[in-house]
Amino acid sequence: MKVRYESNLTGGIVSATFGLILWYLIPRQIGLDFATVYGVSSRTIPYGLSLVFITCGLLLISLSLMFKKKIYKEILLQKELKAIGFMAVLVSYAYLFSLSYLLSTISLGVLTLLFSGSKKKFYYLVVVLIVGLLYLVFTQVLRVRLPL
Amino acid sequence: MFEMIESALPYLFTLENLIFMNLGIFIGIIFGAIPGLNGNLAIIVLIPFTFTLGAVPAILMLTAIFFGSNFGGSISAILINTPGTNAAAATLIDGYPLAQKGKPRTALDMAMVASTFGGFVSALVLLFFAPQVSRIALRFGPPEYFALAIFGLSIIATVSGKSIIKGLISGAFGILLATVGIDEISGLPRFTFDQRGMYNGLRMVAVLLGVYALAQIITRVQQPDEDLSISDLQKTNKEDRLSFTQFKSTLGTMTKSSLIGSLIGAIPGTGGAIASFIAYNEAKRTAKPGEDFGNGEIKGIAAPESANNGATAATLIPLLTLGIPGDIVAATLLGAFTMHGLVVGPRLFATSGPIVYAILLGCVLSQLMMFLQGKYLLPLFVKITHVPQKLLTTVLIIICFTGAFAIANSVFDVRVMMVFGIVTYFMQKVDFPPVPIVLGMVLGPIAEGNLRNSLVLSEGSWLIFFQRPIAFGFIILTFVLMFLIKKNSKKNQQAV
Repeated sequence: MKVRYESNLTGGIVSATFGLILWYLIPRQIGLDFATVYGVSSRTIPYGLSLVFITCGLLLISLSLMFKKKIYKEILLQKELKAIGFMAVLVSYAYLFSLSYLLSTISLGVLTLLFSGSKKKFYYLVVVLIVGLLYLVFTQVLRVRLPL
Repeated sequence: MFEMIESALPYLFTLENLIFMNLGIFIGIIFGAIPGLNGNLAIIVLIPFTFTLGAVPAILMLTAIFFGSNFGGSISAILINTPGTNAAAATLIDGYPLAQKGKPRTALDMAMVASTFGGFVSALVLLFFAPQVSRIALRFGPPEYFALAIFGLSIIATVSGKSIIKGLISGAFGILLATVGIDEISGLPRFTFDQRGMYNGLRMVAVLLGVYALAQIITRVQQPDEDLSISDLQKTNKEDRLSFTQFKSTLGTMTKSSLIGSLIGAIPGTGGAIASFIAYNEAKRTAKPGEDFGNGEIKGIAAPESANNGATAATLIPLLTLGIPGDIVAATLLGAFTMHGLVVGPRLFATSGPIVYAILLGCVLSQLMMFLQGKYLLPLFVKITHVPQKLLTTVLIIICFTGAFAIANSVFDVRVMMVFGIVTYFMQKVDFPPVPIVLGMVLGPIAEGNLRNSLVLSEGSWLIFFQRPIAFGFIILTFVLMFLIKKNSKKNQQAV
């Protein structure tokens, strides 16, 4: 199933929304600055960036709606669901990494090959060996501690 | 200067440096030759691995990757009409037709010789001009640095691709990422969300790995495997070699193209791709009767290859002398310099002279190594590009995540890489370019910090940026650049 969207309009909405969220977050994430230098404080640049996001977002929206400069893009839902599934694997890996480097990384390698549609058993063996080799290189040669 | 060169020689000529330079060239050529990979990806992936090395071997290896990848890009351009890197796009115009005529080895030899020639010229330009620029830059104060950072940020417009507005959004996002952590001037935390890992800010290498490597890997995993394997170099006849006569005939072209490449490479926001096309067009414009550009003309390979390698070392001039990366590779190398305790900028030559000169001389020596590897290992490079994309992608992702952890032994960096890989993937769905993110992250803090320091100096007067000639000059340059970009963009639209 194909999903069609307009890049300028979508990008504009995302940017403007992000800018508004940023504007809301700034006073909650950046304290009052007693080291303000002639009007420039810790909040100045973030507020400026927020304005950039909102302004550029509105420009993109007006390019799309008023000036009809539309750029249509298509995505295949199936492919994107596959990508989202892969991202879920990445998120899980990022959290399981601290428990065990070897198990989590071998799982990542195997799942990456599965998502790529690979059926060759030899590739899976290569991946397991490479993870083992990397573990040895990092721990024995580079002296980097990895969670076992 | 010659005393500095003399003092640098013991730093350069060590077995460790020679090994790692060769390793860098080898890896760079492979990454450049495989379509879908590139030298910058190799640099990003390998930066964490260089942590235990000294500054000189680490930087030499990473710059060697850069040089090697530009030559490597010509291998697939010539053999399968697909440039391995953007900078090799002009090479295929004559490289592929010459290979089709049964002379692939001649074409590859020409690419190798021209790459080496261009690289030598570029490295010599870097060696002789960088210290001079650095001396001028010693006179820079906060207002000059602020104006320079703004000029550097305007480069975002040139690397934005089709939409400057979307490039600005990406650049602003990069600047925002750089604000995460403790503000240097006020000491206040910004956007830490009470997470301990965020107090130190986001490490640039972790963000780079996510933005540049992981986002590409996610795209590759979801796409069907494209068979872009390069056919073996068949055992060609002895006539399929670059002759001395052919080499002599291209000397003039290579010299001119190398200088074009070096000049363009030194200008922030340009790079090898632009240099190679300009050089190709110039060579074609001045073609003699009988030179059939577009149908396998040997000068049609010599010109772009000399230019794209001519741009390589010269790209480092603004980075080393001003601390301003002119493109994504320089921004990546900035991360490497910082990781190894070398603060780029005008003081670099003063504080670490012998080390810097060792690196500059190493850039010259790398070209010779690239020539030797290209001459004797070319069939091996072609064979290695047969590694299946699925396996390569999997190995890359494993190396990237392991490398992200190795930066600071922190799982937080693994998570940063994961988050920004996913964010960049979605940003690219709406055509937000990733390169400005990195530029913003590097230049944003320079601009902010120097703005605040300048206002302290001037007691709040913004006129300081107009009263200091160098700062004012950079502001004028910024407007000139924006005007030229706008003019060029209108011309392109009319042409379409």
